[in-house]
Amino acid sequence: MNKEESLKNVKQCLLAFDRDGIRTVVNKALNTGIAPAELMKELKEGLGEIGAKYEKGEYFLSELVVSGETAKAALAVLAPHFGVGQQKLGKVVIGTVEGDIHDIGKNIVSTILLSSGYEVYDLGVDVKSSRFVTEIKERDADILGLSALLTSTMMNMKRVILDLKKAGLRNNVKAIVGGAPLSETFAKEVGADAYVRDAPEILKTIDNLKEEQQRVP
Amino acid sequence: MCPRMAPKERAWTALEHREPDRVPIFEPWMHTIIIEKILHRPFTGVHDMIEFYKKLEIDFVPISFGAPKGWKPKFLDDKVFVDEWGRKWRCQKGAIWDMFGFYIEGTIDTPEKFDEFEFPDPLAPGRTDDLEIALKAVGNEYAVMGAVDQGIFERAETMVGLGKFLLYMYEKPSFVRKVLEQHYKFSLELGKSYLDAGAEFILIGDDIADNHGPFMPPRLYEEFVHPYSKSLVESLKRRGAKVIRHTDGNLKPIMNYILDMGIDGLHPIQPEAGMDIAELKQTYGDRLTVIGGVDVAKLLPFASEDEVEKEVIDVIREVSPGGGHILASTNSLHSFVPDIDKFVKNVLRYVETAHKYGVYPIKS
Repeated sequence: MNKEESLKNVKQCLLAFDRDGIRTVVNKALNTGIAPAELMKELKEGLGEIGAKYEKGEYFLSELVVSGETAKAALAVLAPHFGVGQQKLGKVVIGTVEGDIHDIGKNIVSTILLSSGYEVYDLGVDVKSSRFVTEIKERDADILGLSALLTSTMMNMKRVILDLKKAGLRNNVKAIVGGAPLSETFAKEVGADAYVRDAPEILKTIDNLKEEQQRVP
Repeated sequence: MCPRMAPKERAWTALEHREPDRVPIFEPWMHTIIIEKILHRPFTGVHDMIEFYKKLEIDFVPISFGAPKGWKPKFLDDKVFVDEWGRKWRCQKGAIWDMFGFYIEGTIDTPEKFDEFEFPDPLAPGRTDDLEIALKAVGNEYAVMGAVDQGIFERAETMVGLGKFLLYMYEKPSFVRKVLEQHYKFSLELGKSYLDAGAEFILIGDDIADNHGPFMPPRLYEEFVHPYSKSLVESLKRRGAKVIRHTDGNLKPIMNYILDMGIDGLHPIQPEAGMDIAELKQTYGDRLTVIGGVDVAKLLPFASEDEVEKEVIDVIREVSPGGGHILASTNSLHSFVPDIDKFVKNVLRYVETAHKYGVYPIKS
């Protein structure tokens, strides 16, 4: 099997939501000497295609969940093959804010970012503001992702951003908020840099923020 | 013209897609604080719900099922408890039911745990106590409904966890079917017991969608969920019930299945999910009574009372002519609002406007 076919197989397994299959084809591809970075690129492209279909209304939540799990299975095989000092696109600290336990959207965002070459520290659900601050400091993160699905907990996002300011870390990170009850206006109100409506929009959102940053003199 | 129908007849007529004397009103779920603010006393249970509906002249009186007599939730700490279905909740003051709160997670999340789990009995003594109280108190006059809350899919997915449940549709389909089947049987037996108790209206609450769309593609909906949902509705309708189905979210990709289910009315038709009540009425009004129209995301929490009145008049003029429309807020009367007193005033204005301007024939 040539390299092109091996890469195609990885993507095909992802698009077919085949968790067992993707482990096998990623292993085979690695054994034939294909670089992990190239396999990651296939995963990213595949997830991008799935995300685009979701945004168009052709795909549904279950397809995001199952493709995310399939990508994670591939990433688990790839992880030991990444050397120390491997170039990462950025470091992300992400979690669902205190009082809230919804994590489907957040998990999908984590997987998309991992598959796209970001170093992701997923703190889970019901995360206290102080923990976000500590992790950002310790990991020297440059992106913060905050998730909430309850109208009663979304105000906890503001608290995290205020605590970051107090700790003198606000300018170190781009803060992105996401979750069903949120909006662009809300993101601005709580002092976030961006709002992600649907999980698959995360990469576009980060690219836009990076572009904006470059434009600032 | 003075309204001349009893609420029950009004409700029945609207669900037959005909014009009653005025547009009926339907508000199945609310935080108890709303009831307390309107009745000016602490909420104590089903009697206060009945009083609330009577005071506001809301035509439907939906009553959910109770826990078995003597059953107590298992508290893991002072705030978190596990319910009959092994689901963890965090207590929330003023929630819709006494002990109901924020859902945390399902714990029956593997086939092994499900096999060991003792599934709750739909006919356990205590299930229909509240409904029987309501039927006795106002059953001759009002459209008292037995509510099969969280129906089949929602109860199943919250028991397992939505993410896992969706994943299992691909990876453990027989387990998913088994869980859905048990919830179908529970819902059916419960629904039949409501009808045996004397209810003529059934409400099936069962969320299967969010603002983006159904949680699963139509083919999986058809394969896993639709047969049970349809069979439940058909069985209850065969016994003469009028059936209203509630589900949040954007249902457009599965509207053919919603119609095929054979329900009499659909609630709440959320505009923020892209659902347009006027369009739905125009397209499916001969087969489906549309229930909704009063925006609870932006209008009721934030608008002035006059703006509420205008909006309610607009929706009545656009959607109510010809019948087949029941007014309702576009989800529930929740208390997640910045100013609860303003919200309550707006709810009162919405109901007053419905009484005043919802009288047939609708004046343009």
